Amino acid sequence: MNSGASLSRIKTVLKGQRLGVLATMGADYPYQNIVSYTVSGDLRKIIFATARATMKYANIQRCPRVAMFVDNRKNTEQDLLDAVGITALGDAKELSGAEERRGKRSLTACHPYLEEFVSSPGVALFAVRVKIYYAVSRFQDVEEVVMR
Amino acid sequence: MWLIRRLEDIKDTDRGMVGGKAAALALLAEKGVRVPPGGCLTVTAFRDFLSFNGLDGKIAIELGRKELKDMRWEEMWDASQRIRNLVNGGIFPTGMFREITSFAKTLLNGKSAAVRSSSLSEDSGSASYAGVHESYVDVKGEKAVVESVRHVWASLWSDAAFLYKKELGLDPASGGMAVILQKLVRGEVSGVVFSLDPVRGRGIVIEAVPGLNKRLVDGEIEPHRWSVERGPGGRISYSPPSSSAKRSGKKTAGLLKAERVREVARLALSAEKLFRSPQDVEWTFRGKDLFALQSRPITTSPDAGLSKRSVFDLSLRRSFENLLELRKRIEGELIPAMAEETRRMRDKDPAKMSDAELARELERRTAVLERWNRTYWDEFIPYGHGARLFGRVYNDLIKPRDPHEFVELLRTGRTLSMQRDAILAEMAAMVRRGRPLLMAVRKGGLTGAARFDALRKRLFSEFGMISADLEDHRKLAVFLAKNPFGPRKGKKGGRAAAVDLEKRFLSRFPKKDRRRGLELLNLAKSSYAMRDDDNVYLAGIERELKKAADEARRRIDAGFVRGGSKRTLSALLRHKLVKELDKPPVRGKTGPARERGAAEVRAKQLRGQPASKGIVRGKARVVVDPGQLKGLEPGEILVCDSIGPEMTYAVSVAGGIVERRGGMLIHGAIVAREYGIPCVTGVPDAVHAIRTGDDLTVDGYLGIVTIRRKPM
Repeated sequence: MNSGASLSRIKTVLKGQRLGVLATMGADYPYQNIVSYTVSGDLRKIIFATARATMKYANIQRCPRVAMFVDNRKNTEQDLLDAVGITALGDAKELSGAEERRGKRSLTACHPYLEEFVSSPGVALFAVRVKIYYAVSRFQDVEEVVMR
Repeated sequence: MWLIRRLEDIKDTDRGMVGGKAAALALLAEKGVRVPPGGCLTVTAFRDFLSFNGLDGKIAIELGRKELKDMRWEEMWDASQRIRNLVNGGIFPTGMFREITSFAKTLLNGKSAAVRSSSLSEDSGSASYAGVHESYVDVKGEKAVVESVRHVWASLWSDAAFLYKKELGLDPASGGMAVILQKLVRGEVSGVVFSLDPVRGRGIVIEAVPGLNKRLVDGEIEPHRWSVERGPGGRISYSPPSSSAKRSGKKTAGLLKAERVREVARLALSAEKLFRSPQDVEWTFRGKDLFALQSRPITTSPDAGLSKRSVFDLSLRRSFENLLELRKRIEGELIPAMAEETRRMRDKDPAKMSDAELARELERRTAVLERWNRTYWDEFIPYGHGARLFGRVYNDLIKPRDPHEFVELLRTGRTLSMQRDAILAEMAAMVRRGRPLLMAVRKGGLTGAARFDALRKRLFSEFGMISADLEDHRKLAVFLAKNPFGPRKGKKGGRAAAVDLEKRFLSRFPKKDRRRGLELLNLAKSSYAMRDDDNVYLAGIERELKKAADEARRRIDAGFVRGGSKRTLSALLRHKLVKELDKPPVRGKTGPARERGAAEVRAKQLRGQPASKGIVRGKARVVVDPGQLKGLEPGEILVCDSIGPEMTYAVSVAGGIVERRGGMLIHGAIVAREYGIPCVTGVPDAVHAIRTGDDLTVDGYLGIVTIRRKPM
């Protein structure tokens, strides 16, 4: 299997979307939210911001293992043929110092309207270090990409 | 009335609603050419029907199963039948049904109809799509018209349409289908006229047959031909069909007088002028009246744009009559001749031949195998269409939920593979119970085990066992003891269910046609079994050739050639099979290639075609070379490129089958169904994506193979 082609397909979907669904581990159940994100060029990091008062922030404090889902469906039957869904599994880490400054720059480059939000003291910036991607295409074809 | 437009009301701007063929007919009618009265069910009806039945999504899933470029024709046929079955099972919205039947009633007034395809991409000028979609003539009654409409719609995804789209690089989901509904004009003479001879590139060519031209268009009947020079009073030359010329000795059949030939030629020229390109026009004469049935641009040939392989694939779609003839020849002549050929070779032991004799025998056996290989492609492979044809008729009549239900009727349990496996089962049972047998084997002989020895001899002589080292008694005994050959837990009542289905199928024929239905069923059963049997017969010939090649190899390796000249020796060395044997055995790479770098990509779930129902979980055994089958443990999932005849014995031991080669009627799938083992075929790159030892789940209902891996 060609890892170049697989990574390129994953990048196309992640770079083509602005929002993804972040799943965190709650005490009893998983919990999901839509978040604005940006992904690093090598696909190893996904960056997002969240207010510290949120449930997802609390969940991540308890368990940093998260999943992020991004897809390119258009809400038509043709999606069954054309849509690609990407699930990234990895560990979320709150950024600080120089890493936080770099993270903010790249997130706001993608989402300029978040400038004020990410600068707020009540907001934390996270990077998910991705360990595995699952790419689902053509409805049932599933590929696993382990990031080394 | 909003879904059907009368031909006289169609404008050229409506092409996007009525398709190329209907737009052309409407224009011909507008310019005064006589066309049968009728109308066109617009593409809106087609889309409404799909949407009303939720078929868009189901068809998208079917089309998403595999990329067209990776599909073999057999897989395209299967996919087209699954889609046809979905369309067959759809319900017409009440208003639509009423509109079609009411239009048909008024138009036909008790007479027959012609129901023709008019796809949006058809007759575009760049591709003719001739014969790609379906048309029906002599359709009697409004309900039959409605059924024909379904089949025309479904033919948007016919196997031929898939092949065209594959070769033209088009999206299989693209397009739409309008349907022309016309009163059938029952002409006395019908045919096709090309305003420009597609072969010579000059002059007009007319082909004609008595009655309707369906059999001409389907290529079932040879036509009378006329060439007409373009221009007023152009010279006419006539060629009778070769068969009738031989039979009657007449120079002209009198099917068309010169005056009528010119009238048809004028029709072609008017169409050419109207559409501004050379045209291929279907026509018919009823009394003195000449009707145009359709006009489309000429593309150099009906197969224009298709590769040789695709043209061959489409030639596999044989008619019932053709298949009956083929059956007679295969069962009456070819199989006995193959068996006799193999027997004669078996009687000649290569070890007893001189070098010169052996060299000659090698050449002879090679020629024999080449001849039978050609016969295999020319006659046995096309014969496989008998089962497909039956499946289509069955599905159209019964409309089952499962489009492959028909296969249940074709399982006979009497294929050659099953006979061989019965021998293996009996021998295995003897090994498991018989201490005396084991003692005899341990002593290196089979004294006192006459039955076992007889079975062993039969196994090797008739079927040629899996590998040469199993000729050793001890190894054979271990092999039999290890593998649970023998009856498997099959589906209860399978045979009774098949009898019920058979009754149901035959009851759908009117009494007078029931014999025909039975004939089709018997043909299909024979065709289905032959998909496995023919490979076993061919393998017998291959085996005898290999015996001679092995002997040659042995002598060359031993460094001497008895009584042979240098020429004999070089003849042996030149022999391609001996050269083949010099190569190291194939040990293909299995499992995904590990790449150096940032990421490792592994398949997690793969999709193919459901070929035998059931779900099973087990360890994968990837087999690239048949010799690797010896490592197959009972219950493991056999993963391979394709199951050859020398491998089918393993199916009875395996827990499930995953094959790269796709199709419902490939013999690996046939054997899997006979044993009731889950099987998924047509999984791209299966032997590389899966590793031996992977934990696999094979879903033979959905055609899905899942690889379980430990979580991170």
